[in-house]
Amino acid sequence: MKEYFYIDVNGNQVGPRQLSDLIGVINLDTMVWTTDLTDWVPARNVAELADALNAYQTQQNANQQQQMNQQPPYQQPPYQPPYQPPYQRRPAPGPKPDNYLVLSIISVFFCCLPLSIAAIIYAIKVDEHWSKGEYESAYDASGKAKKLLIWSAIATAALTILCIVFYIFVFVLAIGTAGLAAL
Amino acid sequence: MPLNVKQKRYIYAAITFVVVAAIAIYSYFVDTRGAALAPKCPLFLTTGYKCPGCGTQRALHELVHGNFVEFAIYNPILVIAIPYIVILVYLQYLGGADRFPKANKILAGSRAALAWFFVIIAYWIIRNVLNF
Repeated sequence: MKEYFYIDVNGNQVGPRQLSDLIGVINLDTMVWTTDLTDWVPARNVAELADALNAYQTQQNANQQQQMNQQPPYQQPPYQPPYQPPYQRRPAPGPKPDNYLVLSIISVFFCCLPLSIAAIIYAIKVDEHWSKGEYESAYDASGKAKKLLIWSAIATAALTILCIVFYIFVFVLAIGTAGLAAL
Repeated sequence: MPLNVKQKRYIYAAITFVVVAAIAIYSYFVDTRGAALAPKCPLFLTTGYKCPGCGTQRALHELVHGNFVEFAIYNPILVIAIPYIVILVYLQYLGGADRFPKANKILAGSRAALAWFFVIIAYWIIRNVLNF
C-alpha cells in the first residue's frame, strides 16, 4: 500500500499514512507527499488521492441528501377528544311524586275496572320517568293517576247508589204488585 | 297549612284505621250472600262476566268472621292482594320507605306495578274461563 505524508491544519507533518486513513481526514487542498513526488503538492494533484477524495465527497453529499429525504414527515399528535366529564343526571327539582300504586290496586276491586287499570299504568310510568330523569313527565303521570283514582271513586259511588236506587225501586215495585195482587 | 312528615304520617295512620274499621264493621254485619239490596257488580249484571273485584264483599265478610277458606273461595286474588296492600300502605304512607328502602324499591316500584297489571288482567280472564 502506498504511503503518504500530509501537512495537517496546524502545519504539522503527519505520516506515513495509508490512503484509507486519509479519506475523510484531508481535503483536496491539503499538501501531501509520497515517494513518487519530488516536492509537496496539493492532494488534488495526485490522481489516486483526488479520485478517492472526490468519490468520498460525492458519497458524503449523497448520504446527506439521503438523510434529508429519509426524515419522516411531520406527524400530528394523535387526536384526543376534548375532556368530557362523566354524564350526570341533572338534580331532581323536588321530591319523588307519589305513584298511587296502592290506591290503584285497591281501586281494582271497586266498580270501574278500566279506570283502575289506567291508574296502574300511570303508576308504572311515574317510576319509569323518574328513574330516567324525566322529572316533568313523572309529575305529569302522577297527576294523571291521581285524577283517574278520583274518577274511579266517583264512578264506584255513583254505580253503588244507582244499584241501591234500582233495587229499592224493584223492591217497592214488588211490594206494590204483591199488594195489588192481594187485593 | 304545611304539615311536616311526622304529622302527615299520623294523619295517614288515622285515616287507615278509620277506613279499615269501617270496612270491618260493614263486612261483619252485612251478609250479602242473600241480600237483594246490597250493591252488586254492575259489570256482572250486564255482561255476565266477573271482574277482578267480584266476590270481594262476601270474601271480606267471611274473613272478618274468621272463615279463611270461604274468604279465599269468594275472591282468591285477595289472598295476595290484601297482604300486599297492607305492606304497601306501611311503606308508602306510614314511613316504611325510609326504614326499608330496598323493599320499597322492589315492592312499590315500576316493576311491581307492571307485574300487578299482568296479574290482574290474567286473573280477570282466567276467572271467567274457569268460572271461579
